[in-house]
Amino acid sequence: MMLVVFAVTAATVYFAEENRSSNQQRLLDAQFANRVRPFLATQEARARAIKGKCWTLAQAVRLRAALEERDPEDLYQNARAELSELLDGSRANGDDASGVRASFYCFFDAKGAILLPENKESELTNPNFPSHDLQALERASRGTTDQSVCYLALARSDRPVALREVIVTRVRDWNRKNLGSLAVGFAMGELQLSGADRESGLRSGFWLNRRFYTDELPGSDRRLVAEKILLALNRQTSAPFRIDLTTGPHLVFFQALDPEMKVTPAYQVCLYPLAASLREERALRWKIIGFGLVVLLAGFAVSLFFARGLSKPVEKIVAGSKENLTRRVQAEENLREKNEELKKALEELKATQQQVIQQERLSAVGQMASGIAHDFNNTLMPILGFTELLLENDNLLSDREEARRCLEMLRTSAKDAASVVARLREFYRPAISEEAFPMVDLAKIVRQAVALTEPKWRSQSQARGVTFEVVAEIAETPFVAGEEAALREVLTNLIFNAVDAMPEGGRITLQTTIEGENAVVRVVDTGTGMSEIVRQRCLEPFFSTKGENGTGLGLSMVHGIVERHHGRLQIHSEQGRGTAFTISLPLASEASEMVPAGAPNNDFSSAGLRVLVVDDEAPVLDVLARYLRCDGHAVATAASGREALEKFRRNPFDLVLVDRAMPEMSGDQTAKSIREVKRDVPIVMVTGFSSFDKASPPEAIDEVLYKPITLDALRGTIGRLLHAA
Amino acid sequence: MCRVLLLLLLTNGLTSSLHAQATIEGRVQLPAPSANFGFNQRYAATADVASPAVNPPAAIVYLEGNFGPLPKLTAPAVMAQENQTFTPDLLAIPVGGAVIFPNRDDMYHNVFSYSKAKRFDLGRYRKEEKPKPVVFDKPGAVTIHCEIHEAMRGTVLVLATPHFVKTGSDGRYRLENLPTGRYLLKAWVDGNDIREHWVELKSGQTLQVDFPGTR
Repeated sequence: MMLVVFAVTAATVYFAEENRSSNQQRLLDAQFANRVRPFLATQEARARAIKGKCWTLAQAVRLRAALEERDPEDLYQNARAELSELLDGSRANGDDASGVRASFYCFFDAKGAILLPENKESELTNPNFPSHDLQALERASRGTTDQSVCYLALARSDRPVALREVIVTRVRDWNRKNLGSLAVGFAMGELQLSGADRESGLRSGFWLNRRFYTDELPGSDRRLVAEKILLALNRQTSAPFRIDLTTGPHLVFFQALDPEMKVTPAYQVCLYPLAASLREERALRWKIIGFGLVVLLAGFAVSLFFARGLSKPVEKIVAGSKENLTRRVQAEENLREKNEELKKALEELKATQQQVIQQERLSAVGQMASGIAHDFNNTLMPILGFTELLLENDNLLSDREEARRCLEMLRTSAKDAASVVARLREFYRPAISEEAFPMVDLAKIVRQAVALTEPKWRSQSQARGVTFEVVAEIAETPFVAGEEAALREVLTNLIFNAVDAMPEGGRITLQTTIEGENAVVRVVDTGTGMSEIVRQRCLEPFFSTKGENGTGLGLSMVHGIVERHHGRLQIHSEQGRGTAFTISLPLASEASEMVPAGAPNNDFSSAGLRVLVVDDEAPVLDVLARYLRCDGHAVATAASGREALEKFRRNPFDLVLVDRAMPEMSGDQTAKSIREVKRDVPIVMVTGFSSFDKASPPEAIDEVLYKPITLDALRGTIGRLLHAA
Repeated sequence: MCRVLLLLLLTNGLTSSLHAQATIEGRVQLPAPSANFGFNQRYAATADVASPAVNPPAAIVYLEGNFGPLPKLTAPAVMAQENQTFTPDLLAIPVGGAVIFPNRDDMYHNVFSYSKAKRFDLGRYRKEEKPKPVVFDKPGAVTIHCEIHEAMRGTVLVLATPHFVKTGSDGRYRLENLPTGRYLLKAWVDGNDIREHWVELKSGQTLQVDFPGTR
């Protein structure tokens, strides 16, 4: 606050002084202008009068003629006649403009040289100029176009300096040819100063040709003033300036007498003493400073008084703001924490999402796997079933016909199981959409299905003591393009479902008909039936009414297979009455190839071969050996690649069957080694994988057989190879 | 016989005097006539204001030398004021010759001169008044002015030689009956323009001397 007061005081002092000085300046300016104006006006009027007279004279023919002839006598005679008024000054009166009196006159010739009369009659005509003044005049006369003004200070020995204003008029003839010039000089008046002005020390003078002419001023001061004015003129300013003379500080005002005059400029100068005003200024300054101090002290006191009153609320405000600040900081902290938490949660969520997706994928796989497992179990059932039957029932064994039938069933089931496994291919190979389905006999499939499922319903009926009746009504024998195993599976599934739907026993009817262009198979049971909701959802995977016992996959598989066969599945059900599943499949067109599935390949004519069979799994080895021995071949077995090589080296063989996946030495390596021993022996690879292309078997191998191998396949391969050989 | 001799002498003298004559002719380049009438041109179109005539330019060519007594003019030369102009504005007379200045205009004219060769002032006079002739007894150029009309200007060239001629407006001149010898031939165009040429005269010879312009 002190600083504020200081600043304010300083500013006040400064502005006050500025104001004062500028005011004073303006006042003085005005005063100066006022004084100078009348003087200038008078001077101007005089000059005008003389100019007029000179101009008239310059037009006179005689004067011109005389000047041309450079005849001073005539010249001055003529001039006198014209300028009589001016020269006599009969009506001379200092203040009257019209009565201005010329102090001298003279002529200059065309080259600018002065022409003086021969008889120097009067002083008027012989001003006896000192040389520099004369030069100035001559210069002026040369520089004049028509009329011009110049100022001279004529110094005389006995009299003070006389200041003269000189009018120079050019004399031309009617052709504007320069004849010479006329110079008339008259005295410059004095500035009128009132008594009051004089008392206050105001002084006036003239500045002419770098000199300052005034009275009652010591020479040094005059010189100083003259210099300063010259400086100001050089800088081309006309503002008044301050100067320190012996008599004290003064303010110098000056004004040009004739602003257009450049040759010998003259200025009216006024000196204004500043001493008094400076004193006043100082007094004012002290007053202001004193006032400032008083204000400062007062302010001090006031501030002390108020400080107590004001400081408390201020402190409160400050404290409050601090609180706010801490609260804000806390809030920010909280926000940041929450942010962190949210981020973590988001990450967890994302992780969980990934897991769920993964699980979903797995579940899809699982779904598929469980489907396959389910089907596999279904096919295993008849295999196990018939095997048990044969083992348990000696009667069945001894009955060749029956036993044979059972064994055929076994074979069928085993093939079905193989086809189920083949479907696993879908996992690692894209499904080949358009497979040419072979022609199958639906009626035969129905019969087979019935036979296959017989153990189930038979054992079930025995266990529960209920009776099942399975009737196959084969009206026609439609042929459809389809997969035998898949269709069998469909019917098997439906029959099992029907059995499960009749806990008290009942009747299952299988019908095959041809309706229009479709082959229709109907499975009807007299079971519990399904409610509407169950009927709508029964085809959903994992939907089961059997609780823990059911996988819920049966009907979804049925549906899938029917779709694959471009067929349609219809379900009719009535609760308490029974259910009917209707499958319509498009009839096989006659143009399609009749490739009866499972036709045995009997044309081969090779027998009595020496065959080497290599497999690390004993059962497979056993089966293969028995197959071949059945056909009349001499079979040697080896359980590993090394054993096979040893045996091959020692004995000749016509054919080698080698398993792919064997420890120590793989099937490929074995085959290669055998080839090295004997180049042209046919080698067949037997493999459980179907991972490589059927089109490109490995180098040493001639053909590939995929497990499970049927006898037909084996025979076919052997036949092909040996025929080729 | 004496008569025959006299006759012979006479003819001899005649022939000798005839033989002693040389001729100079030539051309002086004259400045273009001034178009400034000294008179406000605006008013020249009105019929009742007479516009001053413009004299054709001319020069005086004369042979400077000591030729003995000058012939006297039989009658005074005339420089009239006509149409606010001195006509002719250039007049050459031998020393001692007289000139009269009649006023042929309807207005007042005044004839004066401040020249050193002759200072005179005839005052103002009208047409009817006949001023006295002015005798010029000092050689030199005398500028004649009219006090009333500033544009009126005339020159009387007073020469101390009998051999002078005024050129035509084209500048051509011809001086005849000139004595032999070496003389200075001068051409006076105006007060500031006097051209000189030394000549060597032989009898029976016609010299061609031209005075080209200096400016």
